[in-house]
Amino acid sequence: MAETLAALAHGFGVALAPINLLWGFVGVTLGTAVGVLPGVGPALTIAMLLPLTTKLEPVGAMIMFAGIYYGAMFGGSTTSILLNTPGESATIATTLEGNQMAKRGRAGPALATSAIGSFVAGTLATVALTLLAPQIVELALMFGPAEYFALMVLAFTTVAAVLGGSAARGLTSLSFGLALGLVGIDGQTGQARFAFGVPELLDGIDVVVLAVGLFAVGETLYMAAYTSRMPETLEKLAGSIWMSKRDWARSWKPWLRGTAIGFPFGTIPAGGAEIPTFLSYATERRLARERDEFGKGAIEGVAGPEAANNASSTGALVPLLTLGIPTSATAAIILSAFQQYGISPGPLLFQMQSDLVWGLIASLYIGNVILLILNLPLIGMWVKLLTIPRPLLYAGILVFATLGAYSLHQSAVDLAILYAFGLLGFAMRSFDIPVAPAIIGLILGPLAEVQFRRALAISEGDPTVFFRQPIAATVLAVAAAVVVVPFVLGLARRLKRA
Amino acid sequence: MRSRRSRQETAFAFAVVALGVGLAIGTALLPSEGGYSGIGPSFMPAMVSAGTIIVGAWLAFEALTGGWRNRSPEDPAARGEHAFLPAAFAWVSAGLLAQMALIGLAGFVLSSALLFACVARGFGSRRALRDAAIGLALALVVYFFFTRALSVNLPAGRLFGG
Amino acid sequence: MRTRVLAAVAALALAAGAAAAIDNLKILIPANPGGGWDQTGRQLAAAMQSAKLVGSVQFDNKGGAAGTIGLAQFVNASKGDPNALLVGGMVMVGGIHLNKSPVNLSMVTPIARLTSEYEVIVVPASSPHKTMADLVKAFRDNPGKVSWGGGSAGGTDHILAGLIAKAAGVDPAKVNYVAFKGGGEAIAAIIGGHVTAGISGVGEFAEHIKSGRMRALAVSSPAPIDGIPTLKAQGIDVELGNWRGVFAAPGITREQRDELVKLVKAATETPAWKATLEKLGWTPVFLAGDDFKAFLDQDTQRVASIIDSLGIKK
Repeated sequence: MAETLAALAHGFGVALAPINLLWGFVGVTLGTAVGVLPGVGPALTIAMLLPLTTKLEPVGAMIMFAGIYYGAMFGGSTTSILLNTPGESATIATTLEGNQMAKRGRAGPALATSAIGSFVAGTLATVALTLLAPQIVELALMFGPAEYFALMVLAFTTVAAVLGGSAARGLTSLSFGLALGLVGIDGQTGQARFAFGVPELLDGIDVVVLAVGLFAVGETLYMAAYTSRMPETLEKLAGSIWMSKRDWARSWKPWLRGTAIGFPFGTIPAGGAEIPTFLSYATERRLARERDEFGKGAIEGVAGPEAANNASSTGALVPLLTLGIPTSATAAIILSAFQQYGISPGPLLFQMQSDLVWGLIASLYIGNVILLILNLPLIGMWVKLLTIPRPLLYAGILVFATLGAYSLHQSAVDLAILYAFGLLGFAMRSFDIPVAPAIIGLILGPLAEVQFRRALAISEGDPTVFFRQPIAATVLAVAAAVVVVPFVLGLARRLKRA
Repeated sequence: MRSRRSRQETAFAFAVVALGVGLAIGTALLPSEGGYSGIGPSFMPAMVSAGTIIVGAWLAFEALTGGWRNRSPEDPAARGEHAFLPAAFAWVSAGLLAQMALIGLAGFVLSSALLFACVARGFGSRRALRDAAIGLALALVVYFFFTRALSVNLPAGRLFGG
Repeated sequence: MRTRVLAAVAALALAAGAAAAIDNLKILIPANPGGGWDQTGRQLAAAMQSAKLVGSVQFDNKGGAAGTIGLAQFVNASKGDPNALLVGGMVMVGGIHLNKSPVNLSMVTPIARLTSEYEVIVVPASSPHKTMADLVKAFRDNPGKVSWGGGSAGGTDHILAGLIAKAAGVDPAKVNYVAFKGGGEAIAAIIGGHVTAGISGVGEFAEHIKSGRMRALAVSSPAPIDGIPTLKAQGIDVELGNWRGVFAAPGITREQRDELVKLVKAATETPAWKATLEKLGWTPVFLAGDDFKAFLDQDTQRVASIIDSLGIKK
């Protein structure tokens, strides 16, 4: 422990060099800029900057990358909240309550809880990374396909909470998402499914395109058709742009729970930061005292997912630094950045390149602080975006939405797909069908399928594999409890009353 | 006489059933050999199509027995909205379709400016020239950020030899 | 060295005549930024620029479906353009066959094969299989019990597993292949002992072999790499390299093609390119023009027949 702290102190010495701080600022600024754009994420940005960074010192470059990573997460949340257009897949869950808060004039507190929650989660996760990385990674390695499948089942049962007011319509939306998840090449056999010979469909439906189509395009169509001629009565800025005492009281627990959910998910290669954000959302919805407020802008629904996505991105560094295993696209690019410098992550990294590792870890702490001090003052400016007249605001949203879809394959086919999702979103909105379950179906469906089939292939078709392995069995039992316990409790209450 | 809403709900429900049937047909065309796992590429589609047909039938049942449950008010005014405006819907759609058709030919900047102007028009703006100018400026900034700072290609437009 | 480059440039200028040959080179990369094709394209361009062989270079990343989306665009939009290059490789050959792509590599003009990345077969450190012979024996005894973890179905790793099966006298369709997306997932499954064996590019696993969490049993190269014996040396007559190369547009003249071959050849002789190969651990396997075309035809056949025998394609 003392050794770790001494190494960390040394790391701060490296990272706090003025030039490195400057790179940190550049990274956070750039990251926020690309996070705002759907379709352009931190992975792509860092990939494009790789050639430039060969001219930088490794520590400076790594600090900049960490800044881009964090900045992008925050930038993505900003557009999720203000414009209903998630810039990153990890911020889709934020859109659900965040944009509702913005609509009710509470964009300021939503952005603030997101920034502070990201800071809290990022810092706590970095502490966990500093102290426990080697132990955590051994645990993460015990997860194989059977365990992942059990996790997916748990995720499904937990997020059932976001199905909304009507079970029939919630399940309809879920089945849309699951159906869309079938599109593309089947990973285990290479068989194309429901791609209709369109090459752009072979890689499957991108979740950001679906989210942007359902939320941004669908919403724009709906607003134009049903509210564009209403006077702009919605109060755009109600109350303070800062968080009230009550907002703090309602936010801090979700921040901590979000961190606890996000960090472990980041350490396993099981599909990125989307799952923990939705899990956190569902958890907050279940636990919230003001449950009625969910769907109308509950701050817990922003605080939790925002903490979860930041904790998850830090969690991804655990297997990356200790074993050289990338668990996300961005982590994979950071790994190739390491290789450009001739540095190989892995168990030896901590000994051979301790300057770099501890400099990087210190820079994560610093990056979180930079993010906070850069973004809190900017909230006032961001919120002003909402005072742009409606015609121009929605026009701008659609320019960004189409840009994001187009840049996936540089192809107009993706614009057609986006428009089709916009029409679907419009129809769902008109029929009071919630859109969140469709997105969850698209994320979880393919993951559950692939892990299920992998587990069964390894066990040669023996389905008891899910119950023989202790971790998988435990997780499945928890999943069952999530469904059964509330049901039994409800039944008991009714019997008592009768 | 059944209400307009009830007829719409029934139609939607049958569309969902039709989607499920379509999935089932597509599934039948897929190979089902699953190798060692015993679960082939057609297993999941079969599950999803069955599920879709079931929820579609559920929606139809609700529609035919008093309508879907817990809907928002049918009268737009009660929802704080006005009646459906086909022209507004059409302007936004036209902008998206025009961009789709023109992005290769006219390039990202011009097609996005056009999209911008169409959407603004859909929201009731009457200042088409001003809107187009703002759209143009926004698209130019994005274009240069992408092509210069990120070196990600965006179409310059074949009209201009791009 | 330097004089040779200059000679190449001079030859190029001569061949190009008055019209300054390649002022503005366009490179289509049929993958998203960051991967092997992207690095190949960008590093090749950097090498050209380092020797002032070209003026500006414009990149276009168009990823997806094993490169076939990018290939389709190249075939359709670049016809007859003597200044356009496409990056591609063995993964694309497999993707075309697997996806029944309407476009294929016979529709573009092969310029040169540049590099090859060889594959390595590993087992978890805790595995009872100490040598390739152990693994092959277990595989022969009960093919289903040996699960092979690697990249996408029908990709290079899967093809190698099929070739090994064939050489070991086992029906390739009997390979219990578990496909993973991206390196991280596969690495975690192998190190965690969730699959029996793993297959991937040498570079992808090198660190884990060095750290002792994976045990390397064999490489698919003609010569041993980092002391790992070849498959051939262990009685399995298989050699497989994940090659990458560049192609030119369809419908260009023979002279235009020869010019591009010269340009690419000159680029591969620059110190910048050699440094890149060193850094990324790529083996140079330069093969140009008609020879490359002949190789390509042969490789297309081999890849197609092995994919068909894997029993995954309808």
